[in-house]
Amino acid sequence: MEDIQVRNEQDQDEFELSQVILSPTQLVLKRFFRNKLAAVGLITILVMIIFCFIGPFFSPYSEYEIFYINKETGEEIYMTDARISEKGVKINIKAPISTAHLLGTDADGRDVLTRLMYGGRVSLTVGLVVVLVELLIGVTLGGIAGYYGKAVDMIIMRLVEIFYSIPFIPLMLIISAVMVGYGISPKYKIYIIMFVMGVLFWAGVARMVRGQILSLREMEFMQATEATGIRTSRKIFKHLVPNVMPIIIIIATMDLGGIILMESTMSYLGVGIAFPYASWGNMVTAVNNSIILKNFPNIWLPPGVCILLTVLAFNFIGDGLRDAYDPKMKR
Amino acid sequence: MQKDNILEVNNLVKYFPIKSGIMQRTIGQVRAVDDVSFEIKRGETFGLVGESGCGKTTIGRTIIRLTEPTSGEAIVDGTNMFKMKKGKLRLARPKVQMIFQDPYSSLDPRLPVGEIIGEAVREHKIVPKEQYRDYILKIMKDCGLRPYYIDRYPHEFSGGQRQRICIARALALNPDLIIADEPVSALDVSIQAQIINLMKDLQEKRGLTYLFISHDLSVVEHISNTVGVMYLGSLVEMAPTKEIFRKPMHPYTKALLSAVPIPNPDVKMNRTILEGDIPSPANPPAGCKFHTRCPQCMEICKTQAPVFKDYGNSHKVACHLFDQN
Amino acid sequence: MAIDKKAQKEKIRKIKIYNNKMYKEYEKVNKRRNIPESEYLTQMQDPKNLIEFDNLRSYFYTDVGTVKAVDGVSFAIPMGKTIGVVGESGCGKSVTSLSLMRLLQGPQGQIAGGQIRYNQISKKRAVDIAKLPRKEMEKIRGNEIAMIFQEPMTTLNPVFTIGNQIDESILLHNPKMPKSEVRERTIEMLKLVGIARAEGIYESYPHELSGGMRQRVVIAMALSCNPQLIIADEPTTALDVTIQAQILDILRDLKDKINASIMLITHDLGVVAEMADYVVVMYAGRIVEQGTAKEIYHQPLHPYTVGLMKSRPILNEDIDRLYSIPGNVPNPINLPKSCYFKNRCDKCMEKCNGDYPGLISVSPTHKVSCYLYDKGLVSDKKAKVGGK
Repeated sequence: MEDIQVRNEQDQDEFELSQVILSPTQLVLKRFFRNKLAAVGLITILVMIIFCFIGPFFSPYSEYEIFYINKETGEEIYMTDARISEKGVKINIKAPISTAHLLGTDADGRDVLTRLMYGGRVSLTVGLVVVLVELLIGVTLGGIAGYYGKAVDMIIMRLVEIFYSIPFIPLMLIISAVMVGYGISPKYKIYIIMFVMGVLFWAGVARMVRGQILSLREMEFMQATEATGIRTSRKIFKHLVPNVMPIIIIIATMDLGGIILMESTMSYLGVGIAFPYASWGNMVTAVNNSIILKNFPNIWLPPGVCILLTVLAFNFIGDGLRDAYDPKMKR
Repeated sequence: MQKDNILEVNNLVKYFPIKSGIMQRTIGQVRAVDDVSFEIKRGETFGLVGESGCGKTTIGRTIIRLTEPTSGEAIVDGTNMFKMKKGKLRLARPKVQMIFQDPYSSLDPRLPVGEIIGEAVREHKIVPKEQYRDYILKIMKDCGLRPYYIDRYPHEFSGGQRQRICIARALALNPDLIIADEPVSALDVSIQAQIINLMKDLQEKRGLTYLFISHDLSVVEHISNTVGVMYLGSLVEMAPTKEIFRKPMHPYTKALLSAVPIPNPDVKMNRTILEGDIPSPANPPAGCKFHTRCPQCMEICKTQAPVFKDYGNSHKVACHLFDQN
Repeated sequence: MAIDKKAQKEKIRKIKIYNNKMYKEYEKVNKRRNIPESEYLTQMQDPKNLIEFDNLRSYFYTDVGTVKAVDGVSFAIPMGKTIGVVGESGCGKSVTSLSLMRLLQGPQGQIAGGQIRYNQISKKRAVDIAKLPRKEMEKIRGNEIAMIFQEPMTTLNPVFTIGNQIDESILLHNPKMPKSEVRERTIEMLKLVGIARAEGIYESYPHELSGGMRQRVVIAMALSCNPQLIIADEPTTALDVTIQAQILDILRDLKDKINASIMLITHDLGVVAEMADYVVVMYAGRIVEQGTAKEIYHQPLHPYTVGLMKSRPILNEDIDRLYSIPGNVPNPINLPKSCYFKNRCDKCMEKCNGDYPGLISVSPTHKVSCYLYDKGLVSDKKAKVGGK
């Protein structure tokens, strides 16, 4: 009897010690990278970030630089050049693709490629900041509602419902009109837009986080922390937060795509990022002109493709993360 | 409080309000536990049996104050758990520990085993810092866990091993009383035996006291010294194990015992099969709660609730049948 | 470590390629139309049997390797008898029944070989269910072979009334029956399973019933088509003891009333003892012991069966310490060639390191797969191991 026990244990030890052990995080990463679409998404986003944030350093032009051309000689003249006042010099609008302008110039004579990089900076930054703001508010309020429950939960959830029922685009139109009325400069406008979007979008996050915490609270391991007398702060930071983290990360990636899309929509409508700043959204606005739409796809297609790729990539990453965190949710 | 009692539960009552409407008005009450009293002696095991919804789990959770009681008292080693303030309660927690039913949801998936077991040890400073690791390893060894499990995560373990980790977590705090809420019902038969043996060994070695909650009568018989049978929130019978299994008095206990399938094809038992279902605890029947299903129901049972009385040999029953003689 | 990882990757890749190849092969076989009858018609070994499993193998082709969930299982279900299949989780008892219903989750789960001979009395022929075309199988499933699951709520549709659902299953198999007759039959079925207020229950929705009631309804539904075989997969595990007693009582009662065989799958030896005529004990996808209920209970031979019996406390029986089988169930991937129970067995011998032991008949009905009972040893060992 003793004998088998020992033999059994030895066998088991041998088998178990030969196993490679992975922490939950490593396991998630392994599953994530096994998902090809998600990995492609991640690479796309990395490429976009390099393109937008490091790319401009390699561009010879600046964001607002307007190019002129001497119609007679065909020679391109910079904005700072004294020769722009010469006869026959015009703004080099809608220039075709050339070695000097890899994606041509737009209807105002600016380099499309350079603006694409700067526009991406704005779009990605807006996405990131808005997500941070909404997470900050949403996770805090959702967490409080879920953890404390009762009256606090009641009040916060009613607040969430109110925020859910605010029509977003009409509100943005009004805010934009007010900003124009007060003559707020385009630079501050970006900040205000980011802030407003963050404040408007927290409700969804709060609802998700609350739900997650409510279900976690009923889990037996949370009951066990209560039963073993763990401090509240430790309970929250060591047990609740790490278990809510996955859902927060998933919401964040999914929302990043959504917000970039939303920003593009607003810029397209003219209530978002305004001239002279570039954003992918306001670059696409060029399609309003039917001639550009028909003859100069080099002006509007690249920002459109960028938006598409980025949003798709974020969604792939989000999906991949979700599947990696919880393989059961797949399909 | 008697000297050798580790737990005394007196007139424990727990009603859950039923709320409805926007204003969350209370429209009724689920009488989960309705005036239950019992005691457990140090080093013994008290088995609490009953069917689902009879309130046995609620009793366990109320004693340890995972749910707040409506009234009554639970005295653990001389202190009333129900009178403690939150802060003091937290510090007194190690005295009473709990083993949960589902080994899959009772371990935090994001912490390694050593941390799961040791977290509360550090919290309550059970051992000095420099002995901490040795202490955890010793507890793990006692529970049949290999030392190298200490850095592994719960997802790598089977149900039986997880339940061992849960036992180790409870044990590490040196509790006076362990409440085991259906600790083996989620496990396979051969693993059940391992866990039951482990619990018995630990009891012998460390003089532990268990409140063993289960629906499985044969397991309860095996592990308990005293058994209480619950029906719809009340104890209907309570006696030393041998007494209650050899000479069950209450018709419900008899039915419960005869319902257990015997692994012997020759024994075709004369079975008392209870008619119908358990009534809702939100609306328990008047008089004796069991009278709707009782094969020996009398007129008095429908109107008057029987008293929980001792009929000798510390055999307590709540039934009118024994009042007449 | 680096080499290790590479080898691991290579292994995973190979598994993937192999799995895809297998999926395609099975797909090809399953997609064929107009399968000639000769391919699935067969002969029963014994015309008194309803089902004969013959060397059934059901595999799951998973990402980490092939799981042989059922590996060479042979036993028969005689007509009108109850057969209990016992084992712990993961032993393949449910997979056996799912194979019989042809309900394995494709493409991973497939019947890899062997025969499941079914004595189709309605058509006076015997068929091999493992090779039966889908169309034919659909006629048998639910009609001639019915299944009762552990959790009744998953079988019942929450948005339809009980009556509606039983009516539907009757209509599905008897499309020409007039409405009033269908209703009558439904109520008759509900009464058969001991529901007193059958008319009332007919109008109720599943959520209005208790667990025990729901399980009765599921049984009524299974019975509604006069099945030849009822597969009950842990029918009482989710229920309380007193309710379990009610359901077992009904099942036992029905056994006499209807002339159907029952295949009872459970982990509870007590339930099997109450119900079954024959018992099959499974471990890690194989049968370790089979025999009549009496043989298995009075004279368990395989050390696993013995251990399983001893590890359950029995009412009114004093034991100081429960016997427990050490260790855990082996990993189902890459099982050794030798006996799977070897590492946990307290009667392990030198011989056990050899091939997996074949089934050895100790009586016409009692078979065991263990070297302890290999020729010559049988007579003297039997006395020592069996009995209490």
